[in-house]
Amino acid sequence: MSQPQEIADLVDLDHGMIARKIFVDEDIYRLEMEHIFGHSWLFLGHESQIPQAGDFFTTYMGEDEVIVVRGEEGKIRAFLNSCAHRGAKVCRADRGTTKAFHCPYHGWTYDTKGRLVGVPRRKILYEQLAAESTHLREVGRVDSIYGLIFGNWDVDGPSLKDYLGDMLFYLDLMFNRMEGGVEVVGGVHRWTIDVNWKIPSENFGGDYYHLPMTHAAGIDLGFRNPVTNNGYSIAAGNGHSFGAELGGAQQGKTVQSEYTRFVEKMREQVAATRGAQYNQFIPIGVGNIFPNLSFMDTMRFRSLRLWQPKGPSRIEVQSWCLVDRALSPELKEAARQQYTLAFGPSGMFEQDDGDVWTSIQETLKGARGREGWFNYQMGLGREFPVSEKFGKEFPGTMGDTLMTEANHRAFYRNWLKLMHADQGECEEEAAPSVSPKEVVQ
Amino acid sequence: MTVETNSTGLWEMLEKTYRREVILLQNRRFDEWLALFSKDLVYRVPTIAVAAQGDTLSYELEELSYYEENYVTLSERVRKVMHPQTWAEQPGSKTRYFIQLLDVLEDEDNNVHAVTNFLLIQNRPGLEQLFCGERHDVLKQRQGSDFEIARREVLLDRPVLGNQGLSIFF
Repeated sequence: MSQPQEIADLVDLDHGMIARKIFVDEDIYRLEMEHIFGHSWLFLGHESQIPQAGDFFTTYMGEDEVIVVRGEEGKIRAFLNSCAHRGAKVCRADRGTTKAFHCPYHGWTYDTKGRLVGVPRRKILYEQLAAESTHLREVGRVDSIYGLIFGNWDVDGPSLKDYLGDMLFYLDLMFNRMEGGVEVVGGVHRWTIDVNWKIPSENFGGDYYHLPMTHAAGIDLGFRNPVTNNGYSIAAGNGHSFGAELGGAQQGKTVQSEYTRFVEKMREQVAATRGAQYNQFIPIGVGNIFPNLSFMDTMRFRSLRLWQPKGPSRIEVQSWCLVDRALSPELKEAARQQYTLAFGPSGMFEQDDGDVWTSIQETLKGARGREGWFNYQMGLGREFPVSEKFGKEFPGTMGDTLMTEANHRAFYRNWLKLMHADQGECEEEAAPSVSPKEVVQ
Repeated sequence: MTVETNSTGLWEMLEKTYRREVILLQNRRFDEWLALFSKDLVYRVPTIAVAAQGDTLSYELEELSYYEENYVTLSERVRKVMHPQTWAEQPGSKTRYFIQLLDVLEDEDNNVHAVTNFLLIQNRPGLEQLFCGERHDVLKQRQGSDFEIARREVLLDRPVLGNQGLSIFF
């Protein structure tokens, strides 16, 4: 299973049918790790996590653990957390501050630029060291926007801005609301779910249809309003998408906080300066940046999360709460508490998603369960440019109702492109990134 | 300032309070479980990071929590867990709590500070998971002789939670 044509046969977007196999097959997963996670801009964390030189945190790009560190001159870099000698982890912390990374195996030492600066008994024991072995493997490109740090193993390909493309117009409405931008609350929610990474990604990308049933309890208890079709699901290109519910997501009377009133005021301000159609987009809603960075911009809080793949049938979730830097401590606390109540592993809404998704992956275990197709037909043929509805500065395409599977199809359209399966051509062998034949003294 | 207490009476009363709590939780008598807590309750289960200062690694409590509750929000969580359309608790999880009282101190306001080990084994169809850690409670004596829990901080031993999430209480 490596022929692009075979993969193309598994995804029929014209009829809205996708083969169950792509959510469980080991070979397809390995190809994803190369073609998608090896060449996309992947979210690493927020600059507010590493304000000073020497600050670092660890995270994953695909299944590769990386150290993200701010160097002495302030520049942020990322490295594979694996000694260039023979592979031991050079960092075992989640976060911290350091001048150097020491390997506990043989004592090789790297500075915060990833360069090998210490080798015990080097003069006696080594005449030459292969160039490959004189630095930690560096993530090809690291760039930030709104303080969000992204990394890409690939040194070629679109810039971060071009990769985000038309989605930037909408992300700007989420991140640029107040002077000083956003910061993350200290700490990350981390938990595992036995599900393929694409299932939560496509869900957050625009699955409003599941809200009334999966989250029936949360709605009944008043933590959000009953779901209507008032709103729009928008695909912004490159697999990025979101759903904007009129009035904002997570409205509801139960345990309301002052943060809600604050968002309402924000909305009034933006609508007054830019036009009434912006009412639809403050807050922006719930969405996904391809491949696996989901966000929630709601009436009660903002959150970012990564669905980190651990094999085809498991993920580890990393979830952050974001607040505007300029907010008062009381409003920051309110947003943090509201986020924890609704999302994160104990969250009223998160609890039920996990249960439902896990059951999907269980059905894919058996031979019959992995045959056949999933249905993504909703809203086929009912998409049109957003500019027709909201004005020419609004990019992307939308469905005519909030509930649609147009965003899911947009996700897989981009998936096919990256898997080199959209034209049925064979991909070229990727050139090795470092030549081990070079040698330095 | 807290001081050790030699009062075996106090230990016995606390053991009794905690055993009763286990019975209530295991039998899903959550409304009665809520009644064990003060109306000005602070209930927190912080996330924990492994932090490095140079080569020295330590566990640090973070601002973000798995539970960050007052009496009202904890009551809302109970309502959620008991709701018939909470799929994560249909059927209700079987929970088995093992609580061990480790240390009892009193402060000058006659509040009791209790430290307990806990081991919670949760079973439900298709899922078994285990939680363990330490609970730090501050208890106040009510009229009569029983205690109410005014403050609880739960320190979990495992920083990344296992499967699917939390629909149980510590």
